[in-house]
Amino acid sequence: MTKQEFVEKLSEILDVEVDENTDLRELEEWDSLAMLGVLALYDELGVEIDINEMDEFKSVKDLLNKANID
Amino acid sequence: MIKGYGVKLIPLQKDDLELVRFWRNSDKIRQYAKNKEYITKDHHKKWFETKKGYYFVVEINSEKIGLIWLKKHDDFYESGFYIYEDKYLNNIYSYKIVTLLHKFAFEILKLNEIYCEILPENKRAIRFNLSLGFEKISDIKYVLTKENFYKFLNKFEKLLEKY
Repeated sequence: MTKQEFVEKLSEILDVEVDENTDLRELEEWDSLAMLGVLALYDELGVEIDINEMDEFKSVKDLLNKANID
Repeated sequence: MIKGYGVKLIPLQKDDLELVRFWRNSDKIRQYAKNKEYITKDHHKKWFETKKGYYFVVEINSEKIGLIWLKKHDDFYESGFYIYEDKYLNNIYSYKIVTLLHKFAFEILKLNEIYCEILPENKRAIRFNLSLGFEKISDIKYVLTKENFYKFLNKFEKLLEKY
């Protein structure tokens, strides 16, 4: 998956337009539903993640890094 | 006790009443409650003795973190929950807890639908409940049918088990 595809998917999950510099902590939409969506996306991409890591993501860039997408 | 997805739902006992009253009277829980009055010890005791339905203390990692319930009305059940501990808020744990209760409702109690009420200002809860399959039927009332519950379960249960 390319960076653009990932960011587009993320925008769909969050139901708000984001880019790689978006600060997740400032988004009201970064809630349990969004986290479930991101877990589903990581699962689809075969990304292994510990549930506690979800609380540490601060930006879209962090989500991209976790998925090893440059 | 109901167990699943790394979560335990423990039937509410007298020993936990003061803990629940403390949660319920906290500003962060009370702000979204229909009844915003301070709950006295006597009032709480009376409620416990006369309540109808199923009330569970939620336990995760040996920590009691909140309350979830299926309140029995004359001809329907109303679900609700709150999480007091912040670290379990706004993440996948909410889905684990509620899905476990819904499984109990639809698979053990064999209900065909459950209802819930959410104040319009509680946008996050509305978004959460819609994602679970609840449908809005009035300003504050929502219904979850068995069919919509299974749509959610089929889509997300593997994730709830995995994480």
